[in-house]
Amino acid sequence: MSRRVKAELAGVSVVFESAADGSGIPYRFTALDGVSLPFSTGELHTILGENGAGKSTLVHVLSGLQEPSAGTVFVDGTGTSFSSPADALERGIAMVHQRPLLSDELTVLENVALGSRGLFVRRSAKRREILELAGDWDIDLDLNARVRALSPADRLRAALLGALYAGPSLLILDEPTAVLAPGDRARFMEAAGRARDRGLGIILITHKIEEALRWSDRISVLRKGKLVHSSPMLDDGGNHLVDSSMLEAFLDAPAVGGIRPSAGPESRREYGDPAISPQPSFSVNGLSASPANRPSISDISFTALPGTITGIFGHPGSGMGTLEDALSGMIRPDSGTVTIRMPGGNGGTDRGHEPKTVALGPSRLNPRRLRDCGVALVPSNRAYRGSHPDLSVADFLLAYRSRAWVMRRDGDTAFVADVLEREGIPAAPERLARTLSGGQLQRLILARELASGPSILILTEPEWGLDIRSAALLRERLVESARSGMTVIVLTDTPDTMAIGGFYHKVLRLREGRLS
Amino acid sequence: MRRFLAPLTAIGTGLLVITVFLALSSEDPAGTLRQFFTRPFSSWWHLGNMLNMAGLLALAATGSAIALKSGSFNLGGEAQIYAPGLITALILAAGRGTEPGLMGGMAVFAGALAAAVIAGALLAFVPALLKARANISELLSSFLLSAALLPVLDYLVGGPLRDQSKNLLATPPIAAWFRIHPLARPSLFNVSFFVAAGLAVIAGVILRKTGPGYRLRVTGIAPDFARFAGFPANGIAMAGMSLSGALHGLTGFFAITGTWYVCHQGLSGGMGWSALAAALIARQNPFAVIPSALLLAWLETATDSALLSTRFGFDSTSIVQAVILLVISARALPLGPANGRAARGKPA
Repeated sequence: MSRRVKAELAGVSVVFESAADGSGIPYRFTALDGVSLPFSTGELHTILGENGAGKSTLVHVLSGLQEPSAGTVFVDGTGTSFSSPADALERGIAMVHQRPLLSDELTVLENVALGSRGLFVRRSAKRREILELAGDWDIDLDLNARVRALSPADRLRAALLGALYAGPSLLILDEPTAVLAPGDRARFMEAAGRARDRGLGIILITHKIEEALRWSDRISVLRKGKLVHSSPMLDDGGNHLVDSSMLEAFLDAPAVGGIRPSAGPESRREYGDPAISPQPSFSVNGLSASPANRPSISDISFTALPGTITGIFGHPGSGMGTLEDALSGMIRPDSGTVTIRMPGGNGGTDRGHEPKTVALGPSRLNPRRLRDCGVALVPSNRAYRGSHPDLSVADFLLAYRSRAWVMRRDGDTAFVADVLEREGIPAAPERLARTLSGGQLQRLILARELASGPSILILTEPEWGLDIRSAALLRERLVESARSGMTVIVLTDTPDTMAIGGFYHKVLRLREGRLS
Repeated sequence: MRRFLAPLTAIGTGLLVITVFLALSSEDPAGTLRQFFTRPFSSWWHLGNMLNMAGLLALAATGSAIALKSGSFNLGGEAQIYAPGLITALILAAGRGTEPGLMGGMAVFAGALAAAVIAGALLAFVPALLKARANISELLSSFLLSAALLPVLDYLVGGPLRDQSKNLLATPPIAAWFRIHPLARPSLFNVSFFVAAGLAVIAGVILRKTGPGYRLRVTGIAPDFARFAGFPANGIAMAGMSLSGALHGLTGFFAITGTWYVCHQGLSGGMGWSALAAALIARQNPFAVIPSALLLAWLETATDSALLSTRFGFDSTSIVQAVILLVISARALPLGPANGRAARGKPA
């Protein structure tokens, strides 16, 4: 195993600046504050940190996605300035993103080979090379499959092959195990360990302390943009320099402002008692959908009671994405009905006092009607469905306050400020969503949805990208919402901390498009 | 300060480039430069006509900006100006027998206005509908629809609808009482300039301050997010395109009633494209559409002046316009504060 410093950050800072608000003072946010770190080949270097700690910003600087505001990136001992990820790749640094951007219409092989040099492409030779890489990483993937049809886990594997195909000496993996089924995670990390032994430098972003302790050669911890710890796992004598309590202590900084409970309305509902209502508020009957090039779902039927949390588990490829799209009205199902019982006096836009039942068949099931019926949705795709990188924080928080003809500036500003304060996120309303961490984005989306006063809350992959503290807070918030009488439905392929005993009132499993 | 520095730098650079270009390419550099910079402001005739042209451009550019804000590219501006212009000319020429007054001339005038606006809106609505129903790119369909209509309109104006009593390839003139009176004779400057400016401001306020404006803006940036949030994304895109077409139709109406008084062959004459350029230079901001239209109108008037009064070549005027537009619209020198590097999340 050859180990040498491939890249090094020296005093790197990244400051984001948003357009000035009415005060004329531009908003500045320091995402990374004077961080210096070396990254070596033949080493698995884990970066730990809470949501918003600056992990993503750090690897974005290293992979050419983000220019530093100050400091220098050294590659092979030379100060350098990347103008693009392609530039970084040219210098031997590749990155695999959490949600890789691939061309859906191309096959795995075509995606992997995209951008390869040369005038002529010999598919058979490329196939051989890619299969060899796949073998090294224990990846079993049909190279002729269209990327559109791949599960999130297989998309990650395809992106990994693409990154490896460029022959990097430093590979950045951004929370790769988050999309993998529990049984596949250890296998993936073992393959990463073998690649490290062959001389590849691996930078791993993760929230999982156990994962970091088990697989890392070096662990660095970021907190609020600053490097608070960096050391090898073992000293020269083979003694452990880092343990879990130490890492927990490094990570255990009080959140800015803390997170106050309840971003929702003051009073919930008439039957906002911890007692569970006997009448289901959300019933799905015979829901089937078969979108092109994606796993289908068939005859899905279940009910969810007010005041309960229902979990639906399914591994990648089981049709979870299709179920999410069908339940949120983003695709038109082939058949089936979603029936919503709207409580009187609260929930949805119908503010009458009599409970009302609405049945939505395939032609009527869309996000607008669901929201009118008091359904709040937290999607798995937070970046483009829950928000958008080019929208400001205020813009994506105000989505449900735009129904009035005239938007009341004072009320809207106060609402946005209140949500940001409650969530403990130091952001100005003008700050762009792209500058938020995945966890911050998720918290704001959930806060927005809860603030709409829903009676039903459907979340998909709610833990995705959350650190341990944020996941625990999310769990508390969902329990609190259910206690107030809300119907909570969680769709997930990574049950993780939520599966801790007693959280779910009911658990269903999605296998090959069917519920059991 | 920075927000003003960028456009001023861009305009300054553009003027420097044009000065060098004119000095090198004209046989009488001093005369050409003088004509270029001073002629548009040398008389009410020049200044008024320049403002009149800016008004028409601003009106159509506001339409283009609204389509862009809603996430659509309206490339059918030429026909959306020409066809409503022709309809206006036909209605107002046919209404020559009516007397001025509320029930007579005014009703015909209002009818022509409504017909022009509706015709423009319909021509833009069709591509939007095709996009919503059949996923056909509005960029292609609006362009193709316009490209197919223009020769038909030319044929109608030069053939069956032509005023046979004159040698012009144009429809019969509209009656005098349907003409919008110039405010600064002998130029054609008229109230349409203020209508255009007012509508641009109203559009800007609606986009910034109202719920429908917010939804249109957000749908344009983030269509998937908008749909997921329960906005009628397809309806909003169709509304954006239709509004865009309606404003182009209004441009055609004012072109007939305030400028030409007849519909001549090739009425739009590139105005649809210039409007799109003005909207792009203004970064889709309706407030910025007015200065952007003024800039384009000045360029047009200035290069025409240089062309007419010196030996400055015809092709050279296009090159000069292109150079200035390129410099002004370069992303490195943004006109609006919302498009700076920092606002896009780049490091300060």
